[in-house]
Amino acid sequence: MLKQITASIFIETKTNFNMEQQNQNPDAGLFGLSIDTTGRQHLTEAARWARFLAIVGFVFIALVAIVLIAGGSYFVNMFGRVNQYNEVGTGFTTGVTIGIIIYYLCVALLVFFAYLFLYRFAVNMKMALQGNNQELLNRSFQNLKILYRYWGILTIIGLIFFGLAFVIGILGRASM
Amino acid sequence: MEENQSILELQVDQTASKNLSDATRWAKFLSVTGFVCMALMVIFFIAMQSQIISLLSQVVPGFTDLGNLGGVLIAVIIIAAGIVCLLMYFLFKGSILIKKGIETKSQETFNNGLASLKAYFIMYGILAIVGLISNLVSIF
Repeated sequence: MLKQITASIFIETKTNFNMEQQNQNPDAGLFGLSIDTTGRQHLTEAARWARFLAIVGFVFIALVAIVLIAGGSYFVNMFGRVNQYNEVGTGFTTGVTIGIIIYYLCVALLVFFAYLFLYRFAVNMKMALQGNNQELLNRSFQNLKILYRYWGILTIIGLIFFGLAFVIGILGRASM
Repeated sequence: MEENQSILELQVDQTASKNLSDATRWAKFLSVTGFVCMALMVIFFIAMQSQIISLLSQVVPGFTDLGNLGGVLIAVIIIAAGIVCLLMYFLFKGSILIKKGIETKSQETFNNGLASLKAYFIMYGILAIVGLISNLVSIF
């Protein structure tokens, strides 16, 4: 008898809670998809690996930046020595070497933002799943969207530069 | 416990589904670009095999004396391209299934998409570990 009463109270509470939740978020019922136990497991694992990847990426970028900044003068001297053996005399000048270092620093900065979005996706996802927080889940998916959009735009820019270099190369060869 | 879990289940609401749809569109584009780039790279290396070997023999003295190293180089490039293609396949499959799951409101398809996304991140992580180890080995 006590069990039946407890069960009926529980069912009623659950129904009320569901109704409240639907009133708060009418879209949830409309779409019908949820993060169930299986989805939760997949997302937890994905977030764990994404966080690891992001941390590895941050460390790698930091190392590259340190090497480029700290070893800047070394690279200038090294390319200067290469120039001594360059018969043409139009090799690596100091300006070109500094330009190359700045270029790689810019690349490191661009990649850093990608890993930042990946890290935010992972951290928000972990917190959302632990605390059942809908807002954090949405923020996590938003960072995933920004991450792929960011890589997509960088890929398009890279492809355009590659295409331009290819066309200029062909035109240059044809004019020779 | 299971009852409690279902009460507190997170929902894929309109905001989440819109973000996921956009993410899958870009992920699909990236994976297709990856497939095309890998195919072009393999074709380029196979077509330019003799030129690449002659160039390498100029840079590395005695390169041509090392036997069929050109063939080994091509094999390594094909294997590397295959690994990247497998990574892109997980991303492609994940993006297709997640989008389909959202459109058809199919929980199973959506979960399969999440499983592919998980596989993509796991493989990416394993490749990062392998890369780190090989870098450390080359330093010491």
